[in-house]
Amino acid sequence: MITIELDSPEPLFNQLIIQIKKAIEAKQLYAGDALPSIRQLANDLDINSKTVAKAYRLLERDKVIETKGYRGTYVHPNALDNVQFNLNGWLYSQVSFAVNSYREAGATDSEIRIAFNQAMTNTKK
Amino acid sequence: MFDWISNTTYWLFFSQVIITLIVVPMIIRNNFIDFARRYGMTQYPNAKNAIEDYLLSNISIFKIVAGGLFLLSFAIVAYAAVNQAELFSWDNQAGLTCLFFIAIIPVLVMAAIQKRFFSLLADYSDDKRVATLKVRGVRDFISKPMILFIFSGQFLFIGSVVYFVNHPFDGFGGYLNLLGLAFLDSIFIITIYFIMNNKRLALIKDPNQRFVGQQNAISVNVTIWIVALYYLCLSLWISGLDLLSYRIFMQSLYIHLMFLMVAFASKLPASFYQGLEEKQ
Repeated sequence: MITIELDSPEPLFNQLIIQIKKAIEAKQLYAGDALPSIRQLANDLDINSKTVAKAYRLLERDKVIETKGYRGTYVHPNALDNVQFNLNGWLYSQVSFAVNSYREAGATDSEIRIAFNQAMTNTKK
Repeated sequence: MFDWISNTTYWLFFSQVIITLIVVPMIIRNNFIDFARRYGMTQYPNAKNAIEDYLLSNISIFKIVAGGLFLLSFAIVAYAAVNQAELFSWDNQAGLTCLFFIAIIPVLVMAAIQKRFFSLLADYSDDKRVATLKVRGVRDFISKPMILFIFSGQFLFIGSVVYFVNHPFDGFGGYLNLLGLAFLDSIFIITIYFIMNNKRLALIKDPNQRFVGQQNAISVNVTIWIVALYYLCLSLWISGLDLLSYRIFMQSLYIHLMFLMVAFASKLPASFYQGLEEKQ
C-alpha cells in the first residue's frame, strides 16, 4: 500500500519513489514481484500518468525496478541492495568535494558557477 | 374468443412498466442513499450536512422524473390495452423498445446524481491518496466461467447466423448480424475498460473497497453482456422457427431481467462496508 500527499512540498514522483523503495525495504515487495502498470497506479492515485512514468523511469535507472516490455514492470533482482544507494546524496557529496577543492585553489563562487554552467552546456548528452 | 396471447402481452407490458419505472428506481434510490449515508458520512464526516442537503434536493428530482415517466408509460400501455391495439397504435416490438428507452432515463439520471455526488466528495477530500501495489488484471475482475460463457455465447451466435444464412427467414439480416454482435461487444468492452480505469474511484479511500466496488460493477456488466448474447441467439431462433408471438414475451422478459440486474447491482456487497463503522 502506498500513500501520497498532494499538498506536500515533496514532488509527487519523489513521494512515489520513496514509497516504493520503502515497500521493498520493508519486504512487502520482493525481487521479481510484478508492479502495477503506470495507468493503474495513476488512476488509483488520481494523478497524471506522466508523474508515475517519471517515478518508474528513475527507479529503473537506479536498478530498483525493471521493465520487461509488454509483460510489465517488475522489482529488480538486486532491488534490496540498490534501494540503499542514494544517487542524489552521492551526487551532492561529489559536487561538495569538488567545490571545496576549487575554493582552495582560489576560485570565486561566481567563477565556479560559470565553469559549471559551461561544463553542463558543453557536455550535453 | 378471448385472445390469450394479446391479453397476457398487455399484463407483461404493465409489469414491465411497474418493474422498470417503480421497483427499479426505488431500489437504486435506496441503494444510493444507503451508500451516501454509510460511506459518505463515515469517510467524509465534514461533508455530513452537504451530503444531507444534496440527497434532499437530488432525490426529489429523481422521484419526480421516475414518477412522471411511470405515469406516461402506464398511460401508453393502458391506452393500448383498452383499445386492444398495439403499443403507440404502431407496433409492439418497436413500442417495447421505446418503453425501454423511457425506462432508462431514471437510471441515467441516477448515474448523473452519483457522478455529481463524487464531485461533492472531492470538495471535502483531504490531500491523501492511497493505492495498492498489487497488480490487477482483467482476470481479477472477470471469473473463468464468465469468460467461458462470453466465448460460448459468441460462438453460438455466429453459428446461428451461419445456419440462418443457409436457411434464411423473412427479415433476416444475414451477416450484418455479426456487425451488431461486434457493436454489442464493443459497448461492453469499453464500459468495462472505463470501470477499471475510473479516476473518480480514487475518492473511495481504501483500495480494497475500491476493488470490491469495481468488481461488483464489472460482474454486473459481464452478466448483462452474457444475458444479451444468449437473448440475441434465442431471438434469432424464435424468428427462424416462426414463433413471433413469443418474441414479444422474450423481449419484455429480457428487459425485466436486465433492469432488475442493474437494480440489484447498485447495492454494494457487505464486504464493501465491512469495518467502515469500526474505523469511524
